[in-house]
This record gives sequence, C-alpha cells and structure tokens, in this order.
Amino acid sequence: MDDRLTLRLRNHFDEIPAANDTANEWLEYHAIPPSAAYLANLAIEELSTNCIKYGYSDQEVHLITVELEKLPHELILTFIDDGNAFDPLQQLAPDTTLPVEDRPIGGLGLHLLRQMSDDFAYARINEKNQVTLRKKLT
Amino acid sequence: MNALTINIRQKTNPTGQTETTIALDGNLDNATVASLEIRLMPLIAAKPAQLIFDLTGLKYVTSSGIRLFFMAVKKQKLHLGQTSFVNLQPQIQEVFNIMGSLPDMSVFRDQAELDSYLLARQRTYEP
Repeated sequence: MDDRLTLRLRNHFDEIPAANDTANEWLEYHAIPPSAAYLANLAIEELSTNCIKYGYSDQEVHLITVELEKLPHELILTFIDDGNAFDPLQQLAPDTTLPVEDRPIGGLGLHLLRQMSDDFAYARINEKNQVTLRKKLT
Repeated sequence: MNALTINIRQKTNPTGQTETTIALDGNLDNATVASLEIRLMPLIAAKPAQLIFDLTGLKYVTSSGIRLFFMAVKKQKLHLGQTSFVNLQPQIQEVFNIMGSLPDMSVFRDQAELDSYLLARQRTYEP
C-alpha cells in the first residue's frame, strides 16, 4: 500500500463513516500508533462535519479532499475544500476551566484537534481552504 | 466504523438511591450519538442519584459525544445527581484530559475506585 492515501468526500454526512473505514485500513496497514490513528479519524470527522455544516452557501455538490501521508517519523493530514474561507486558528479555544453549564457549545472539535496534533496550519490557496495537521510517530 | 452498543444496568443501593450504569462499547461519533441520546434522556428524567458511564469498551469519541456527556452532567446537576466516568481507555483519557476536568464530573480509573467513592457517598448521604 502506498505511503499516501487520498480520499474525496462529497459534502454529505453519510460520506464520513466510509472515509474513516478506508482511512482505518490504510492506518492499520502502516501500523500507525493509536494516538496518531485517533487524530486521523477525529480530523476526518470533525473537519468534514464543520465544512459540510458551515462551509457552503449554495446547494451544489462539493468535494472535500483528504490526504494522509506517512513519513518516516510523522503523519501528515491535509484537508482541502472549496467552501467559504474559514481559518480554524482564528477560533478561540474554549475555556476548559469553566463549569459545564457555562461552556459554549461549539469549538470543542477544533480544540481537540489542535491539542492532539503537533502542528496545525491553515492557508487559503486558490480560493480553497487548506488545513494541515502533523503528528509525530513515536 | 459507526457501531455503538449500549447496555444499561440499574440498581438501588442500601440507602435507596438509584444507580444507573450505562456501558458503552464501540464508537461514539456523529453517526451514533443520537442513539445514545435517545436512551439517555428518559434515564436522566428519572433523576438517578448516580449516573455512571462505564467506558471500558469505548474506543472512539468525537466532540459530539463529549457534548452529550457534558449535557448529561448538566442535567444531573439540576436534581443534585452525580455523574461518573469509569474505565477510560488511553485515547479516551487523552480526550478527557484535553477537555479539562470538571468539579462536577468525576472520572475513575477502575471499578474498585468508583465503588469506594460510591460507598463513601452512601455513608454521607442525607435525603
């Protein structure tokens, strides 16, 4: 199996479990450690969900591209969508010291991804959002 | 990917308190969270003194699952009920650590630790 896996999801929630199934076969084949594999699954679910929910102002079908790449000591996850410009790094982290009833409902998914990854980057390139997560393989 | 098995046990402890245990097996994600919510709501509406999530078999949780856990804690607080989480697998423990520990949300390493906590609660319980 190749060191790189490319997934293309239509902007529909039903696409996410199948994408994660395919990702899991690839992650298992490459013996990716549990914490990095967890991050990959979580990123596919959280970022695709955000994009499908908030990313588009029209009713058209769009494709979200997810690329997983295994380097010798690192897993790189890249998400590209043609939705509205959205920089996840501009979202404030939730205050996790607040009592539960005062917690805001949003932002938990992005907060998890930022905390679990070693690097989290965003770029707007050619009218597309590109989010790149890196996780060391230890 | 998207399978979740839910097992529910209920018992009344010697002080007459209801202990409701929800054992989760599999993945708690966007595709399965509604199946838990629909089982959870009537259990919480019955106002158990102790609501316990046994996470021994939980392999994966997303932010939607965490939000449901938070909602359970919040609803339990309305009738002064406790909510506990026990037997978290390492990846789930990491997610909980990132979310921050809550004073009203107790996490226990294993069943023995939970049992001693519940026993202490019974001793101090004054209806």
